[in-house]
Amino acid sequence: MSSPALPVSPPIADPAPPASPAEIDLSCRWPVGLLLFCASGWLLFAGVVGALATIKLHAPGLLAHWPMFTYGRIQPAAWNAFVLGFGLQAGLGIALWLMARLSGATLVGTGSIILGTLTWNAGLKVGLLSVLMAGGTGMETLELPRFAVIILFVGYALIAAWPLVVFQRRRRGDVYPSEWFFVAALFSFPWLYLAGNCLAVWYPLRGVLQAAAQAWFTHGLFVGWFGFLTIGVALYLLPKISGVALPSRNLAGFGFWLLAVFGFWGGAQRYFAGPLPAYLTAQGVVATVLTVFPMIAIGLLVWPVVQTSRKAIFSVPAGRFAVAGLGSFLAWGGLAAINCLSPVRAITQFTLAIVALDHLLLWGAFGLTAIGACYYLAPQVIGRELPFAGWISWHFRLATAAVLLHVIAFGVGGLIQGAGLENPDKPFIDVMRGWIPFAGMGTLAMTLQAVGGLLLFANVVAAVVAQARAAVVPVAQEWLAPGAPRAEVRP
Amino acid sequence: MNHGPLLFLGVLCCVVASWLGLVVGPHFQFGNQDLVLIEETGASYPSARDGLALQGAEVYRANGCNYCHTQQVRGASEGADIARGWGKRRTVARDYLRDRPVMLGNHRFGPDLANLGARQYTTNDLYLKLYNARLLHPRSVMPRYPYLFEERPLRPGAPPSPDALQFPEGSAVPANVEVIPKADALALVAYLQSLKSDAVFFEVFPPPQPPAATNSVSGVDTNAPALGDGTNAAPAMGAEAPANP
Ligand code: HEC
Repeated sequence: MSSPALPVSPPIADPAPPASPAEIDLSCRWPVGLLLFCASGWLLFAGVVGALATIKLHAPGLLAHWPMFTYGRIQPAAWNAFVLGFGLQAGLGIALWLMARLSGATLVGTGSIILGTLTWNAGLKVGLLSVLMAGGTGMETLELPRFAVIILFVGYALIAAWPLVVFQRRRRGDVYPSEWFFVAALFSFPWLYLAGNCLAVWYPLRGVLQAAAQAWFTHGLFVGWFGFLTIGVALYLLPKISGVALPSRNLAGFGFWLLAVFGFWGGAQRYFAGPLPAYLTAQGVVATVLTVFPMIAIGLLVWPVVQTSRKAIFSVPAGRFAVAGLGSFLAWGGLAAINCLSPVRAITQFTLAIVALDHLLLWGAFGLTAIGACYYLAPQVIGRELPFAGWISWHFRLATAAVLLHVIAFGVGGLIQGAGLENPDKPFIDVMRGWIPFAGMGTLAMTLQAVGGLLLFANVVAAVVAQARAAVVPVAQEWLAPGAPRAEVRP
Repeated sequence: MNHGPLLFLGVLCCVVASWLGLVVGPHFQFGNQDLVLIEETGASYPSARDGLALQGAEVYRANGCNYCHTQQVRGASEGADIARGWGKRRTVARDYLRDRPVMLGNHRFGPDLANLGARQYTTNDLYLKLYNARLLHPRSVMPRYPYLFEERPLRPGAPPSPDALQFPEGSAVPANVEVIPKADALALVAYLQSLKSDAVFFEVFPPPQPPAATNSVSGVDTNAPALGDGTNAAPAMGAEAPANP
């Protein structure tokens, strides 16, 4: 999608000296600021709608007369708002800024990025509206109807081409490991989303092959976007905050390539013992288990950094967020592999435990890391301190508590649900009552997330407003000052 | 790893390889699966849905029933699905040949529906389940779908509509209101009643107990694709499987 702008030439670093951070931040101000603003708005929205969806799991009569708010529509709406609203835009914003910083080149294509962001948001809004009005496609994570997806692609191309251009114009000799992950993520997403939409929705394959395409897409998105970005951001933030270098570039490369090789092969294990051919689910299992190795590599890479400078890292909110996020990611890798073992998956399949795993990756790993990165880069990009900086620590507490609560509640609830489902003598209605209290805790967790989202959004909005006011007020005062040139009444 | 193009190519290869392996490969392998002819009935399986049931599938999709209900039955050795009476045999790829979109579902907050049409539900009960599942199960958390129905006051003197829902004894529904299913509810229930993946053919070995009704499939050695076409052809029926009526 976004590669044609790139000349295929040997990447000789631009001989000019790297641009100064201040110059780069200035070049990022409006495009990255806009992406941050939109992403944090969608985070808030996803939290609120997600809480509403979880409530509906235990309150069947709530808002039942409004078709828009039925569980089967707001659940996908909340999910897509997180994935495409927050996940994609926060990821793009962070990648734009970090690619510019790491390459030592100012951001170019500002106008195109702003236009792309507006396009993306327009596409997402009409798409979600359409899901709420019965237009969802019925394929998880590919729910948006075709017209909306096409708008999204246009928006994506307008945005994502530029970090790649910046990468190609880099003025530093060697590429920092984070950049590998960003380039890979920026490139994987359009390919995955296009192929997923084409084969599962637009020109669907026959029968269960649609489910195979959907599973491939979803897992690819999990690893290729959310996983890569989580790692890329953490590999930048932790050394940066602590001042301790990553111990090994080769280990980082090893982790990167192993994750790229194994990561995209998972997914079909969701349909274990279902109508997909058994070898597909087996491939999913093998890939997910093998993915543990790159996870270990990443863990080994980051551990010394965190270990030697715990104090420095934990004194900065972004450091705490990044540690919690990367920790969630590694935990996700381990749990996903454990979940593939047949005695475990026999119990967890189709239950809340699967939801817990997905939540650990999306809201835990990516969510925490990206929120931390937003707090880290917002003051630099917007050009002023966040007005409610004291809230950041609160957001950290809320968000980590919410992830822990959600994952533990749904994990335990899922095990109880699974054990019940596997016991044919237990009436279904009793199985169902067994997990309801845990769904209630999930609602609480999503509410905490929504409150946290509000803290971020308020900070970003207030900072942007203050900055805009600082830019506008002096000009207005100058124009309106008593001595300013006036338009005299003509005779 | 300082070479942008190499990075691109490497990642491209990884993504494309997985795509070829997980999507394109299986497509060439069993994307050309065909309907099977069931000899006893002379009909092909899976049978086509009528227009109303097809519309119902759209209602099912639009309201996201698949976020709570699966439509897939695992074999007796892999789960309690069959013991729970959710099907007589596991579901295989061929069962879904006519579905567009295929809504297998990943969550079982509600029961599996792959064989709902084979269960003992009256049409009225299905309407009640959709209108307010608590009328049948007081503790149910199945969402209510009142917007699929028209709630209108009974005109004094006029006879109640024959289409109105019959409420069970003692349900707290106002006596002066009648509830009529809208077109969407009619279609959805037709779809639910069409959900049946219980035909027995060569891929899905019938349970061992009943001697009749086995090996009843023509076309095994004629036009049907070979057994080894990669679908889950393994005999998955265990002893627990309920007897074939
Ligand atoms: C929030 C999750 C949820 C959603 C969404 C949902 N259901 Fe259910 N459904 C349940 C639960 C829980 C039960 C079991 C309790 C009961 O039977 O009332 C159930 C039971 C059923 C049953 C009875 C199955 C049986 O074997 O007894 C049918 C039929 C059904 N649902 C159809 C639907 C349809 C059609 C839709 C979409 C319009 C739908 N459901 C959406 C949760 C859900």
